[in-house]
Amino acid sequence: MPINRRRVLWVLVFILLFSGGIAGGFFYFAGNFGNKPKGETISEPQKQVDDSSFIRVYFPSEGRLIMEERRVKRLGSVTISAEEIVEEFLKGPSNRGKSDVPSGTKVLGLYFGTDGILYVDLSDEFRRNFHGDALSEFLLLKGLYESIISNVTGVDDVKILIEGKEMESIGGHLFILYPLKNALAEIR
Amino acid sequence: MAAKLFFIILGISVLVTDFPTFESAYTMEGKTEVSMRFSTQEGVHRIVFESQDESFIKNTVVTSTQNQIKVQFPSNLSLTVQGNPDIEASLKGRMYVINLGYPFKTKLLLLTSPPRLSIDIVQVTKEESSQPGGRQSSSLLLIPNIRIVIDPGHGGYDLGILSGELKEKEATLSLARAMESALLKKNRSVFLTRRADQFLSLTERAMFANQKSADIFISIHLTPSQDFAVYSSLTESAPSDTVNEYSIMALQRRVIEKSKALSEGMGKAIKDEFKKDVIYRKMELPLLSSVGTAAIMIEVPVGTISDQAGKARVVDALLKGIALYANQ
Repeated sequence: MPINRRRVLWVLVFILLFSGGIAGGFFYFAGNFGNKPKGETISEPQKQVDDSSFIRVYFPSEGRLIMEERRVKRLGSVTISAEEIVEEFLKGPSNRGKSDVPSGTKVLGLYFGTDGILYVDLSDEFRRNFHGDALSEFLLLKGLYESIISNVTGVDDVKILIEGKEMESIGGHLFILYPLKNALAEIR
Repeated sequence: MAAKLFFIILGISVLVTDFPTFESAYTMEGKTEVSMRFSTQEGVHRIVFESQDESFIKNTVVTSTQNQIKVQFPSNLSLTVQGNPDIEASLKGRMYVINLGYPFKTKLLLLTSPPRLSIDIVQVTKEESSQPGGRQSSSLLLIPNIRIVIDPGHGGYDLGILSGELKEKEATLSLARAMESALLKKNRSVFLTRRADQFLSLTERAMFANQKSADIFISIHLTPSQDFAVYSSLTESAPSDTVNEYSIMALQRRVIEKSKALSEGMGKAIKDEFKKDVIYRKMELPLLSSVGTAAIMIEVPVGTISDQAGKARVVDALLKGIALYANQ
């Protein structure tokens, strides 16, 4: 039986073109997507949800501490987390009517010592704009201390600096020369 | 002036007919025998309480308000009135209350042989009675000659509480100086940690009190609250084996009971004067912890010192508080 050589040639050309197309397609798509990290496929809306956290902030108000939950950016290292918390604390409670948090105070810096003490450097307004009695001063320091300790793990104690320097007192009743834990023993 | 004075005395006289018991030679049925005499001379009215029990007379506390004198005896008594005093008065338990109905000044004398307490009363104008320091505390002579250090809170750039025109640093200094003035008039030893508008650290204040070997240390502050607050140190609660910055400077530990007594005496005097409850707080206050004597901090409500009469009442109450503590 005579072989139609022309037909066989056309079949071979078709098979070669088809195989080439398959191989080209494979290498094209593998080159474009194969090396990308999987994490980058997360959509933008999901990123916003995962980067926020809830913190508990304790504010002095009318002779007691009141707790408010605040939503902040996702907490990171000790100092970044603590700075977020101190910033929220300095904003005062939602109802600022009777807040004893000194207005105009800025966070100048935070330093975390190897001894577990977090140094919070605040602007002079924290001292200058405080005009309360002994209980108010106690609650101001207690609120700041509790807000940090209850939200940031690894911090054992908190020490306040004013304009980068050690001060004896904020309001003339309690010491801030030393870390706060011992100064904030219970009231009876 | 003498013509304006009217005195009515309601004396209560208890005649005890039982034989003396073994309690003491001058007590009857557990009551101390006290005699009261009344006299008037050149506009000065004198009331003398006399007893054979010297400690009874010594521990009697005399306090006064605008128109009233209260004589608080340390235990039950049997009172015999001699003479015919024109003073409206009554004995209620251990308290002898004299209602005068006009402003007055008093002068007290504690005398021995026999033990007796003499109260001289003279009428004054309202203006005289309302001047701080000018209104003489009838408790003054019952304050023994102890060393008193008064600490006016805040000062200098530390303004303290601001309430309208009032600055805490000025108000505390004013109260302290009025107390000092009253005490100095009776030759009592009194020292102020600051006498002008200057900043003093808490450490400097404590050092001052310790250097003066004070018997009593009172730090005066204000509060925007409605109630007086008396603070004492929380030092006692620190475990004995704990060593920290506060326990190292805790000179209070050995005198904490005295501070408690001073706190209670002061609270009682304030309550008697202002008829209000007093808030007692124990707090780790470095100033009190660093003073090696009976030490308290008082917060005076801003509202009570809005006028001169109010200041005078506060000063009087604080002096009475010292007298109550010193005579315990």
